[in-house]
Amino acid sequence: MNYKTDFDSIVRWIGSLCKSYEVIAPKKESNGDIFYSVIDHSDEVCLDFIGTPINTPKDFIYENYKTLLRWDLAKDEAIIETFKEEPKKRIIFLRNCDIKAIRLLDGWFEKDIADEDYKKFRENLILVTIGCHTIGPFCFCSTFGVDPIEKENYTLQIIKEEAGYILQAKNPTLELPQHLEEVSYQPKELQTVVLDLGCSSNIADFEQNAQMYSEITKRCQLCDGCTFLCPTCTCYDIVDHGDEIKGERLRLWDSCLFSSFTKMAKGYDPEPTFAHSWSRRLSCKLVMNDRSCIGCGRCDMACPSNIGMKSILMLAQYKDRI
Amino acid sequence: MNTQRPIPAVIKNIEHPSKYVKIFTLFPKEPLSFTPGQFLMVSVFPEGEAAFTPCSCIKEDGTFEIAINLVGRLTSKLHSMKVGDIIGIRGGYGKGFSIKKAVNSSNITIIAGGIGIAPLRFLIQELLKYHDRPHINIIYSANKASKFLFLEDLRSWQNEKEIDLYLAAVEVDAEWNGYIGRSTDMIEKLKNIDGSSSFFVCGPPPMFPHIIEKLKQFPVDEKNIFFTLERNMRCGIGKCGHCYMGDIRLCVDGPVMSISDIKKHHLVVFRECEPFMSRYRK
Repeated sequence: MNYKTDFDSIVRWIGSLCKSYEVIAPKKESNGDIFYSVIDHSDEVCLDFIGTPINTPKDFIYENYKTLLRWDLAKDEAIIETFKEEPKKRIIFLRNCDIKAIRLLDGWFEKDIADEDYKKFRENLILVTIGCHTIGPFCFCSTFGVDPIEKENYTLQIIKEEAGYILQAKNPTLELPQHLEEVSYQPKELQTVVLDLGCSSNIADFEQNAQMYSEITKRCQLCDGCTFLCPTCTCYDIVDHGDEIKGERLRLWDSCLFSSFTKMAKGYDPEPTFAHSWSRRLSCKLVMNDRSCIGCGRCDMACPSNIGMKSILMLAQYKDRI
Repeated sequence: MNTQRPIPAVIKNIEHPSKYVKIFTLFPKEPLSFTPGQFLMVSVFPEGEAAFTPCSCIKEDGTFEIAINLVGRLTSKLHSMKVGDIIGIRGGYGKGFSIKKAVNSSNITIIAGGIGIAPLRFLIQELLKYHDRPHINIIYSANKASKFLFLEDLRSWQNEKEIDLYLAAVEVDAEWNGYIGRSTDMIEKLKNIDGSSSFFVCGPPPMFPHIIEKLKQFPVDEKNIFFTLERNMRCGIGKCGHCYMGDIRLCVDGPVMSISDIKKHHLVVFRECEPFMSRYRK
């Protein structure tokens, strides 16, 4: 069903949702930047931005610096305990590319030995799609088969149109906004740039792509913006804080580009050079794990050296023009 | 239940059989289960966690053994611990040795290099429980004769029928009157190796290419040669990404892998590098 509505009724609707859910939605900061944030006042919500927010939904569903457990060995009965967190009921308003990212995270955390915390959290999360009305400068999601406006796979989708907003609903579990006017609606055909992925099959081979890898390794500043801002990067490290008696264990985001990522206790590093690390990153994003790049362009936005995934694909495509 | 919560375990006994190796007898306070070749994540608070392979099954009194080689920060902390101290354990994780495949093969060869004997000792203990098991060849090499571990087991295996034990020490030692050389030299001495013989190898990664080369002289099926590989493992449950090797995660798809799987995934088991000396060793 398609309904016509306006921004004010959406704001009132989100306000009523805030009473029984924690609502996470794009919010405009004072300098104009858009961030996914927990919404306290429903008029903070911003739905008419271009491209993607700067941060990713993984900030909320796969937190950095998460405490995994505490130990207290002082007493006779040694205690190693995890936190019993009651998962909150949450609604998250997000771009279609970020929804694909969450589906990829679902696959990752639920395969083999499932991460119980993630599973419990995910069961209490409702996703609402914000369709794009204009293509952002870094977007290339169509390359990976993501539609800027979702055609089929949504329960609720909000799309900004020239006059007001369109709300699309398919068996929603949520109560809909008031004052809705049912309309017939055909979303406009939006498509980002589509890059050729043909080159990606051998992109991990840094001997065949020597020129590209020398360019990448020369430029990369190891700031790690690309991995921390990637909605599908899931690598983490585990660190203990405390002493022999009492302390807690934290989960920190990690990056496969860091030099000690694969290094073993004695000092032997099975992936010894920077090119090895980059080849791993590219094959993880473009070949393995069902191609975990979603084309959101955040790495291109964050990279100080212009070697985000979009730039690299273009680099691989037009080798002769480097 | 949190998947990454370790079980408290008490150190019941510590043996010190060689300069840098200690064998800890641990008593887990909650139920734990693992098979030979699987690894455990051992937590030493507050140094963190690392992967180790147990060297015995869980005995009737609820204890099991684990051999720890002093290498880095965590193992040096572990070596400083005393009987009664508490560490954390979780596991067993990964794919271990296939005992079914071993007992159904025409003969079994076990090749251990240095501390690599630890998981293989557990495997041998399990194989000895089968009365109709095939003939077992055990090849065990160490840098020095003083570095041989589990001397009592070696003696009992020597007396066992249907077991051939080949020992080799790399360096000349006054007390050692056995073979001087590497484990790979012993492979040539093996008898009756055919297409259904099985091989189980654990040792330092530089050993693997030499063993693959030596085994080419026998008509062995690559599906029956198993290596225990190692990587820097952090979570043990296939999520943290640290133990990647090509397109696999070793903590889930390994650590025991057959040569045919290693070739299928184009894995590089060892890259040549400068030898390292641990700064934690004195």
